[in-house]
Amino acid sequence: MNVSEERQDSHYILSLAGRLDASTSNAFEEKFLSLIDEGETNILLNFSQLDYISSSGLRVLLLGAKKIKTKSGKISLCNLKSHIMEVFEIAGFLPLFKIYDSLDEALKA
Amino acid sequence: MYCINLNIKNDLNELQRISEALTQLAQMRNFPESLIYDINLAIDELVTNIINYGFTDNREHIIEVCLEEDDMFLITNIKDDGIAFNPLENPDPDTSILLEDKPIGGLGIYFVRKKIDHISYRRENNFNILTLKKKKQFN
Repeated sequence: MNVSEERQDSHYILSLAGRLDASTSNAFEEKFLSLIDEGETNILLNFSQLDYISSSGLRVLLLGAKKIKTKSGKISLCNLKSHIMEVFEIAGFLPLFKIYDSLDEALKA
Repeated sequence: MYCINLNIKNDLNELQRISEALTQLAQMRNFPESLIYDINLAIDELVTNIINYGFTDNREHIIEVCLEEDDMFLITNIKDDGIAFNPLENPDPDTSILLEDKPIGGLGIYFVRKKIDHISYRRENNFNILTLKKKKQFN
């Protein structure tokens, strides 16, 4: 999996490409949680190139959501493919994040 | 009919080989992406569990994953020589719990149950043998 980073206005954008599973989630966890530790409070995850997520990936997102909440920050997601959206729904994860259809929409919010 | 056998080492980097085999199978049999996603997720969660929790030594182990079909189902068999674990006995998580109290983990087996039509488990000669049946769909 590849992660690219970019700051745009008040958002810190992480764009994920490939598969977020048990073999890739540790590296992502390190990056994601360290951003929150460093004080980022408005993180946007762009999933447009993310093909797959398993419970290992969701685990990292939940850790991040809990951590950022203690700092009154937020995590937004955009461009979820339908299979990924379905996994979020089954897991009961939809209420935990602001979810947008597109990057533009997420940036405007 | 065919039978695809994968010998997966107890190393998480091997998960990639499962998804590659499933992608090939999808092309060969004209299965839709959604079917392959569901099967991949189920195998992925179970194999990840086996690799992370199944073995008490540090030796290499082989997890046998076999994909086959009957008239109605795409069938996956997963066989490992780890400690006895029956995922059918795992309680479902409460997915309605809100953020602060949401437990970290415990979703993997739940995904398997949600995505697979029939799951059976048996312990045989020190092996765990899981059979997953998912109703076939075609593009």
